[in-house]
Amino acid sequence: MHLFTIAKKDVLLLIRDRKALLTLVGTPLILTFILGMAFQGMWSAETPPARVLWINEDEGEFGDILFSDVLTMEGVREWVRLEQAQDRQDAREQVQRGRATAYIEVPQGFSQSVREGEGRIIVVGDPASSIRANMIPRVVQRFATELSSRTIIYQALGEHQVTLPIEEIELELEQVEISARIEDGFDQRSSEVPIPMDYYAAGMGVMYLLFTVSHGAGTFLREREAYTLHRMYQAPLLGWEIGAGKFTGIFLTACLQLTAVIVFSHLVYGVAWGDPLGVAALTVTAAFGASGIGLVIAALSKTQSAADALGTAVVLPLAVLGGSMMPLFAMPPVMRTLSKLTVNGWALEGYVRLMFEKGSINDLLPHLGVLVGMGIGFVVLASLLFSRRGALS
Amino acid sequence: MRTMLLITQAHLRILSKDKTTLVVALLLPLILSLVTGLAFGGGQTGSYQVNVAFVDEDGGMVSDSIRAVFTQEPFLLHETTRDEARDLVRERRVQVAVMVPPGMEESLRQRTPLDVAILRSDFQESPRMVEQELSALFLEIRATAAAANLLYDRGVPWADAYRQTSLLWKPQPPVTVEMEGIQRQESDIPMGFNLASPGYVVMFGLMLAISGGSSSLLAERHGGTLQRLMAGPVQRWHLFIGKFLGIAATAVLQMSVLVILGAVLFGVNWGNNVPGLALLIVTLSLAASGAGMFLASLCRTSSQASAVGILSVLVMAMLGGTWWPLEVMPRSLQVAAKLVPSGWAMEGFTHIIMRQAQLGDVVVNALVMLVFAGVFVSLGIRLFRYH
Repeated sequence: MHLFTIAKKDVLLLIRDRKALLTLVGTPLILTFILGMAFQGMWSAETPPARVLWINEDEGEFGDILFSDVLTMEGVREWVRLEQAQDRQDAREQVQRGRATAYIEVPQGFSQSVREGEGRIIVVGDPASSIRANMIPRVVQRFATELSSRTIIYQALGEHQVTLPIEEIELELEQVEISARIEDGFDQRSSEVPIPMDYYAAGMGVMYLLFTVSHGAGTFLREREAYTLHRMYQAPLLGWEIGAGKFTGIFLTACLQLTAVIVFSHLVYGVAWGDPLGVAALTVTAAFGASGIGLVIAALSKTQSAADALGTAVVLPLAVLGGSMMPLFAMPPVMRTLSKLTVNGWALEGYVRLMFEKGSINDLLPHLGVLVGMGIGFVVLASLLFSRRGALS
Repeated sequence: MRTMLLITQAHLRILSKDKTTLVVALLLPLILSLVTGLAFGGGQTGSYQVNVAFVDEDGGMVSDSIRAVFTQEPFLLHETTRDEARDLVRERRVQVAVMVPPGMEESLRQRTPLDVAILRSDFQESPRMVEQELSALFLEIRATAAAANLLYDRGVPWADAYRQTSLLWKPQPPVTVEMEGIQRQESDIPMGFNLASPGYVVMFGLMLAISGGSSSLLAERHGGTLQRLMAGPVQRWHLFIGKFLGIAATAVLQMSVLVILGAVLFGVNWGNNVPGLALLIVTLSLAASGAGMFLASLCRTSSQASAVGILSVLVMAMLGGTWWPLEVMPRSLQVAAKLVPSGWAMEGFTHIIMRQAQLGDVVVNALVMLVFAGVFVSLGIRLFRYH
């Protein structure tokens, strides 16, 4: 079959092109490493504690309790570094400039006003910190609710002319127990938290799969620019054989690239890809679907550099939509719906099922079907575009 | 001086004719900002929604107060039965289900421990948010029930005591926390135009200057224009600096256009500090252009430069915090952000956009980027081979 000769030539060309190999296999591995490391440490002890400034002008005991007991209890003290501020204005300014994450102020007479039934604590947060500045008020709010609880119980008892010692109230509060308990609403999952390294190995592998097919589109056009395509036409080959041969070439290099990323990331980073049969099936169909995109890029471009530019312009938005940069499962619903329109979104979702949900090939049937369907759709689209443009010449 | 400027001008002319570069440098970041900005909230509330299946097997006052939590944004409540809720969660049609068991009031009065189950769907961040909301509410319920129990022991009907006490929490509890400058967290990944746009401006600024700049310099060497220029009365370093300024100028233009279009099209808030913004854009462009020239001195061909360039830009962009906020990264990566120009640029932009900083507040960032530019250019001049 001539078709396979052409495909084989393309694969060989890529393997001998060290620069392309570095880009298509090396880069995703490097990026996986960085992203994996970055998120591995997220929320662990590695994240430096938030600097929190405080001023306590309260003469009573409640202000003390907040700063020496509540904010130093286990689960809070690990991510907070408390620092007493000297000057209110200066503390606010430091937070405003991002030098401290938050500033807490307990005003004068706080304990007294709590007893009178109305207290107020001030928390100022760094406007640029959307995550950590949020955790501080949550702790302070909890403390405020605990104080409110006692005040309200006193008020409620007072309405019925009942007075009780605080010990009795505390005892009652201890006896009433109501809690929220998170349960798994799904059948099985291999790890408690998805491992960032694993997720990004799949994410980057799939993103670079798209770069690979876009690179393939570029080689298609280079053949035309270098007149090798013309020579092929003079050989005893049919037009469709050349087209199909180029497509097969893109498809095989895509398979190879993704396989290389999978194998290397497994060996070097210990990424657990899951059910081998499922991984193999998904890899082949994902490569097929992506190759269709490559063919469309080739059909839409006139020169190799145009194909490269169009490729980048297509790949990056697809990568964002498909979840390669930010995890799909943490995305809002709109985004998750949009990702269903992309080849890489389906591929990545499939890998995630295999990795974290111990899925098997049977769970992937919709993914495989959609990927093959998208691939066929793109091939048809590309051949229409090619024929309208006066074939491959 | 004149020759340097002529070379700068030539670079700008070459680029203005290159349509594909224009598309990649301008259109792409805009599309990306649009997509991520829209998806992650676009600055408005209500775009992030948590679907909650609510099972009420109690049907009393207590479960009503729990239900009230989920009738507010960002929650969307679906009243259902226990079995149906399990199916909804398993099929991921809701992110989370909250199941209120029967006999809540009785258990509270009997002082038997009570559990409200939160059933989470796979790979969701929202159950944590639901848990936080519920835990806060349960503190109130606990206190209300404690008061009701104490009064019940003294002859007051439990339900009456509970209802009266629960009214004391409204309109606001006795002790309150006044918050300033704290954003409401709607998703675990904070984004929106305001965060997405500066990130993309920095990333694509680097892309154009480093990857595009270095490969264009090498293309001139390959195409022989450098040799021809050197045949004229031009000193080598004039050539080098001219090209350096040309690349920096394109980056300044590109980033300014992106900032303006971002503000006009998507309403990105770039702060009120125009001089500060301009200073950051110019110094970042110089640093990035310097990096591009340095890269060109290390590479042999323009395609090599563009490949290595894209890789180094992606690494710099990530380390600099253009993809996600640095505040949640481990210490080592926060330090690494200080080693790349993108980190300093992002910090400066954040100062201006989120913290309403003055010009003086970003001068340090600008100076550091100038140092980067100086180091890169002097290394580049030394190492670059003109033939």
